[in-house]
Amino acid sequence: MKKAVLYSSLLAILLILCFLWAISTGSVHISLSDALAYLTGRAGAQDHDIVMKIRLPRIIFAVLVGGMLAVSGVILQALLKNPLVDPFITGISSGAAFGAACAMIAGMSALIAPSMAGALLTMYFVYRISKIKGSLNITVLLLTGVMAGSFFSSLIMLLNAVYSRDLVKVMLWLMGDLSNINASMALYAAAIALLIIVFAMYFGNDLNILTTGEAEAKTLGVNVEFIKVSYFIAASLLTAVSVALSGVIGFVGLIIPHIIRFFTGPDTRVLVPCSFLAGGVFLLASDTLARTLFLPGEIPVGVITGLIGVPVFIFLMLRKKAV
Amino acid sequence: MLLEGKNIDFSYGPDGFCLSSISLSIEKGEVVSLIGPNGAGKTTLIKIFSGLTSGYTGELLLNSKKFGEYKGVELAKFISYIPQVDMMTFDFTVEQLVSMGRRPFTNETGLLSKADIEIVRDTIDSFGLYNKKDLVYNNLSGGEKRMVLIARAIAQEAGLLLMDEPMTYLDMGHQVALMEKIMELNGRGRTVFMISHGINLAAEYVKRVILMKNGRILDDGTPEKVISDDNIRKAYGLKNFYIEKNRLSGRPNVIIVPGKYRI
Repeated sequence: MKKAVLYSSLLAILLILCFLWAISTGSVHISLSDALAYLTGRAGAQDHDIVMKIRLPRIIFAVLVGGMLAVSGVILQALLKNPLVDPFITGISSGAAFGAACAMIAGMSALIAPSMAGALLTMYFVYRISKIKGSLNITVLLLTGVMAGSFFSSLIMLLNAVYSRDLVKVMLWLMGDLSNINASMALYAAAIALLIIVFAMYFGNDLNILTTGEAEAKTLGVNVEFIKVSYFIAASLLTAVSVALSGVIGFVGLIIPHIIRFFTGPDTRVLVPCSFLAGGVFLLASDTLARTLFLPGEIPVGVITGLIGVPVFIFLMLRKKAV
Repeated sequence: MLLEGKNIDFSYGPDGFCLSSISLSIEKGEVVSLIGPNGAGKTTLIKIFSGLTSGYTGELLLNSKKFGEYKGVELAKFISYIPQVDMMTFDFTVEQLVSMGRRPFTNETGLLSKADIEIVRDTIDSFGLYNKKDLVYNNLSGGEKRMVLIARAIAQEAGLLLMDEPMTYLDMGHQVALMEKIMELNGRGRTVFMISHGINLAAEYVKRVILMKNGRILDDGTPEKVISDDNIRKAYGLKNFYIEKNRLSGRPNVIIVPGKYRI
């Protein structure tokens, strides 16, 4: 547990540094001291609103979404016993996006529940298809996940073509985009994230044991079915909330658990809090780059995470040799 | 009587493989080797007797109480199942893995008390692995890996150890070392029920051998009784072999003879 405290503190410092960078950079230049003054209550005209109403909520979103995706990745990798999976690669994010898209077209404003339904159903089918003769075939799982991803993206484009035709917005959303902020959802998201993190840490030892083998876990007294089902739900809930907030952002859940595991080892109880913080740092940095690299324009944050994530995925796959 | 199965029947589906009318009991303090050809049902039997596989008919008793009556972690305090795992997905260290053995004694968080940590360290030490406690399991040798998983079962403090072919992939030296370790654990009160694919090694050490074929028990008794010409011919379909007594231990050894020699 010493490791958890040490690395969490380091990551918290990194998060603060990243926050200071993000709050003071953007299309309008605001100095760090001014930004801090606005944050601590100084009144002001336009700059005050930029800091408090645009940048601050977006930073909170980026940190929450990044953290949730990373924790979702930690859980999925442990459950599926493969370090190459994340919510994006397994198609769960796209399933969630499809659920949310249906809700949007139906005119619903609550996106989390439909997104959750999409995530759970996709996870269930991908898992069932890849379970061949009682054991999980990881190659089939990865392929099915990627296929499910393409399938749902096509479906979303189709729905969009039939019902609304705002292709650019949908494209942005499918790439992952933090520019559309719905502040009322942040509170829900934060509450759900906190609950799941506490849960994931509390039962973390049982998940650790489960990764060493289902039979052993059973004879060590672990309630295997309960652990599997509840962690599957936890992972898809995290994914669903992050998709409802920001669309499909890939690879955060893949890269972050790897980097953190390299430092802390594979104990879930340490990985979960550290990955949450690191996911927050990573997505906040990516998003700040996404909105400042091509000023005055802005690119979807998923472009940045994809550009970093794909090479990392290939590197990890080659290092592991067999998938 | 520690573990007892009465008329256990089990099948994997209508055309699948099945176990039929298995009745056997393991007494406290025994070391029992389960032998038999591939597909005889050894692993299925061990899994049923560890409480891992359900869906059988018949009665399974632990200390004269039905398996179903043990709730949650209760069974884990009596029975420990030791699989053979070559590679784990994640890089857990020796100490982390052995600590998992304390799961039946902690709550869900798995946080260990001072006493738990002491038990874990003492157990690792008793397997001669103390200087390797912070090494990653995946980087250990095959023999060390087997020792770590047995150490985990010992930290679990279960009196009954069920092992699925613990000798697989081990060279002769490590097989003997592991067998000596198992006998040492037996000397300290553990009851062992294991699948052995090396008949001769089992015959040298254990006092009781159970021979299975096609989901049934063919014979059960001392090595001298079970490892007979007739049984080996029937169970393994071997023709060219003879059985010889080890001149020091007096235990039966199956000597395989190539087809070109006449017996």
